[in-house]
Amino acid sequence: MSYQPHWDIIYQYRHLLLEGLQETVRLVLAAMPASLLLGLLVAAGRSFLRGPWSVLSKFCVAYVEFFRNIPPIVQFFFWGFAVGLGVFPAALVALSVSSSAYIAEIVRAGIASIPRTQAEAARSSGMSEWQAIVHVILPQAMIRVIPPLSIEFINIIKNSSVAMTIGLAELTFQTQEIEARSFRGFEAATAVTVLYVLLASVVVGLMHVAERLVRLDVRKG
Amino acid sequence: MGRPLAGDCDRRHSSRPTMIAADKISKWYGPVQVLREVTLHVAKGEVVVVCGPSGSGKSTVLRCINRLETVQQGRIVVDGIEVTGPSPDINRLRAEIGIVFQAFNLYPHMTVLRNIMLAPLLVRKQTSRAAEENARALLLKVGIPEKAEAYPSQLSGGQQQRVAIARALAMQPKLMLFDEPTSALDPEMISEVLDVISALAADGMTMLVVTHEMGFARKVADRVIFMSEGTIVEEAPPEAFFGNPQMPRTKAFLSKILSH
Repeated sequence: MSYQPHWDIIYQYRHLLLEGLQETVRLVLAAMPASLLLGLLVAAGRSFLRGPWSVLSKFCVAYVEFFRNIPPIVQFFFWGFAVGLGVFPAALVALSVSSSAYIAEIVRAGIASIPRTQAEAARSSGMSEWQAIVHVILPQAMIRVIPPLSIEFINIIKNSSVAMTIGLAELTFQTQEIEARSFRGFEAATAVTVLYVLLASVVVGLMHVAERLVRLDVRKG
Repeated sequence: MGRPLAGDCDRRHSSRPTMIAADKISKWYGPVQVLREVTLHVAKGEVVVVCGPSGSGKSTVLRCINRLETVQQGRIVVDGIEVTGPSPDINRLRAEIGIVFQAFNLYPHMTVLRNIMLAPLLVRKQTSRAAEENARALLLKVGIPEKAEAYPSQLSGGQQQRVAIARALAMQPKLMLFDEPTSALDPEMISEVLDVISALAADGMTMLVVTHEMGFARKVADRVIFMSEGTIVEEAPPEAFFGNPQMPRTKAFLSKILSH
């Protein structure tokens, strides 16, 4: 006797799937810019701070090591149960902070890959260090790291599922909800898988468009 | 005649104010000494060419003038401002010094026009319109006005270097430094860049040019300096330098470089 999937379950519980999708998208849409901004700040701090500011630079190193070595689920528990933030805020902070550590390293590598001669050219025309960083170094660095950034953005989508452990009713949580109500876990999981793949594809697609837009100038000729 | 002392040069150019005064500058990279008490003066409006084998320190001297490199000993004063001081307003100083690099160093993520406009916009706080007008005029001056909207990667080496020159000129500097501007170019493109530099010289720009282009030096330089192993070996106006080199090292260098 083999398993007979009842795909109509998906239609029957579509409101749960939609709710879950909504929560996941909300979380991911907020976490992506937050982690990007945090990661950018930390990477810039590590790459550019010198002299009296180098204490902050060491802090950035510690930040990266700390938050990328601790499993996401532990970070979710920390913000949700130890610190006691609400479900969505805790999920957002945990997801943003843990991803920002990886993004910081990605951006730092991008910054380091820009030849020193670019900064020399910029500073030689009288630009301040800040102006050279903002107008010459960072734009080039960010263009270069679009591919590895898209990897990390997909990780954000995947790690968002951990939020169910602190009570967020996102997509993966809904799999279990539907299973509990209908015993049709397989169909639910399949539907959720397809939705995750779709989300990831959207992100990848957007990154490709972005890359083609900004790199057109770099790749031509 | 031998190597004229710095004093002789001052006497010859005492009518013109000094733009660059580098006195006894020495520099070490760790244990290696790359500049040995180099003294070099450039008067306003003068065109000085520096030549020499690689490792002679000629590019290093150039880079010390706008403080891309620092010296451990000695003093450099540019247009009255002390470069080697404890805390010079380095950005303000650099705004008055234009530099053109061997590898062009254009900003690849910006159009040619934006490359030229960027510093005037940010440093001189020009309006967008003024900066653009200025940039287009400079592009015309270097001979490639049609390339304004192109990106550096779409240009030939000679065109890129001319954009680099325009970019340096956009800040209306008092002094232009050229670090082997044609060394990275295919031979066919060298003359188009040298023509632009020669025109600049004819306009009265104070220039310090590190180059191997001896034909250019002969035509355009007021003075040619030969450096080797961190010191100035010989220094003379082009007729004397090429026609009657004094030091054996100079003669050896010239014979090697002029033979092909």
